[in-house]
Amino acid sequence: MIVFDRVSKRYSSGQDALLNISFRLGRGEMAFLTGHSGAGKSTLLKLIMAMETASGGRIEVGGRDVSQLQRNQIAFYRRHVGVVFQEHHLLFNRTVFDNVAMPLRIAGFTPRETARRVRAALDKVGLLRKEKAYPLELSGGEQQRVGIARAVVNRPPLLLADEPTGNLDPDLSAEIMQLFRDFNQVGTTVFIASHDIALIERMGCRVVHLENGRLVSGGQA
Amino acid sequence: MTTAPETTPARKGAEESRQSALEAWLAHHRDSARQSLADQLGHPVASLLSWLAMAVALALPALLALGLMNLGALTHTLDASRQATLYFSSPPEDATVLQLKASLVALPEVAKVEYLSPDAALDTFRAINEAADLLAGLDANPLPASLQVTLKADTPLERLDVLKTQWSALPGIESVQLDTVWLERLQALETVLQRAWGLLAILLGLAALLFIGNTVRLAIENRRDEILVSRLVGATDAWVRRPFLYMGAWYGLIGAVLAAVLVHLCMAMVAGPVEALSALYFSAFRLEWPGLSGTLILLLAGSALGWLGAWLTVLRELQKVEPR
Repeated sequence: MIVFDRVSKRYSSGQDALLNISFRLGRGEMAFLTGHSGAGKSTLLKLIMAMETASGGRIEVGGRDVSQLQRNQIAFYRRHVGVVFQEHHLLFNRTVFDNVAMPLRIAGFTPRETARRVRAALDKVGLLRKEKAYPLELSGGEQQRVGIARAVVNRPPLLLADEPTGNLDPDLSAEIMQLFRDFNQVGTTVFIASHDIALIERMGCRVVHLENGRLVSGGQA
Repeated sequence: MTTAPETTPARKGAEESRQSALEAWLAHHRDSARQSLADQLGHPVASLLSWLAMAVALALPALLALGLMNLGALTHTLDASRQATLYFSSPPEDATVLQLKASLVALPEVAKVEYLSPDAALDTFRAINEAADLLAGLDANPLPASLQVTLKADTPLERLDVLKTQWSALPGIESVQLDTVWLERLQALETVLQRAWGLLAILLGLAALLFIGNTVRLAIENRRDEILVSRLVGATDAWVRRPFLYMGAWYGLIGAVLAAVLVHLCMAMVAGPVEALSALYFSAFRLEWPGLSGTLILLLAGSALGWLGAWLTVLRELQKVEPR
């Protein structure tokens, strides 16, 4: 699903965020990306999301060369990649339903199908009864689950998460991780950046380990 | 729509649930238009300033254009009564008059030629002038015989000058009176006003563009998060732009509706006095109103201006709102 072939990223400030990274993530696999803050985890996810462009090397996602995508192709490409953020990026002036419906409206689903899929996604994360609530009325864990519902509502083949449990207590974190595992079990490829070593170890998945922009372990399945 | 044989039932279901690209595009246009209108109407106090600014920026040039249109109509009415008088040096023979009349009527610029004998001139003079008693003290009638030539309205002023010179050279003609100077002045004034109107329209148009641009820029700033999130979940540039373009177009259209109301109010206020005045001087002149086409042009210009102002801003500002 994901192929990194000798990928480097140097910011315009001259700082090297990633150096010569090569790894593969198979279709339907679930893996973690770990390392200290500043090790390059976020940069690596941004490269997959086409939010940044690599300075060198090749990135392929779902058979597509991400660095060759034109500006408008990037928009369509992102419809196939769900993302969960640490700060979950919810819109506070919109209801939970409208937040989750956003990717579907952008992709041009009918209102009826949008409603059906939004409710299915909210049901999956256990927030069906909160669809009319506003994000600020929800707890931190609930907000994160709305973010997850939004990331999967489009049924993307690839789900990325950047520190999805960063602000949550261990119990809530475990719940969130269980959700990711559920999605993985129905065929979604899941790639999660986290520095919560204890949690990662409990999950028993493959771990891609970065240090100072270099891959130190987990490059091979 | 034919179903390809390799299409699995699940995939087929997914395709039916998604609108065609055209339907989705139309639906988003409809939603953007409706939502941005609802936003403006939902905050009438905040929107009022923008509407009024657009209204004033549109109403001023519209009023000036109407003024110019009416001035044009007025000069046209005056042109219709363009007259030249050819004075004979001495009372002419009837044959000379008939011959001259015939040659003048044959000219394409001439509508009508009338002979005015010294006696007839004296009668006319007496009828319109109370000082006619002065003439009674004279032995002979001092007034010359003349030909009154009515020229066609579409004769250009330059041509009138040429005719005047030609006619002055005719045998037996003492002088030709053709007062083109004030007509030329009026035409020159019209040109000046047209130029001034053009400049004012351009300046106010620019002001409207900047104003709408600034309003849209603030709206983009307010909806920054929304734009970022929609980009992250796959919104195209066109999708992100659309609501802001409609926003600009609505400001322009509503401003133009207010401008049209303003223009009609102003017209109603001057219509009475102007028509009283024109009745005193030029009975043929009627005040020209903008009419349906003029109003439609105003509405169209307003929407286009609003849309353009939004477009120029959106091109620049949305580049800055990229997920990082």
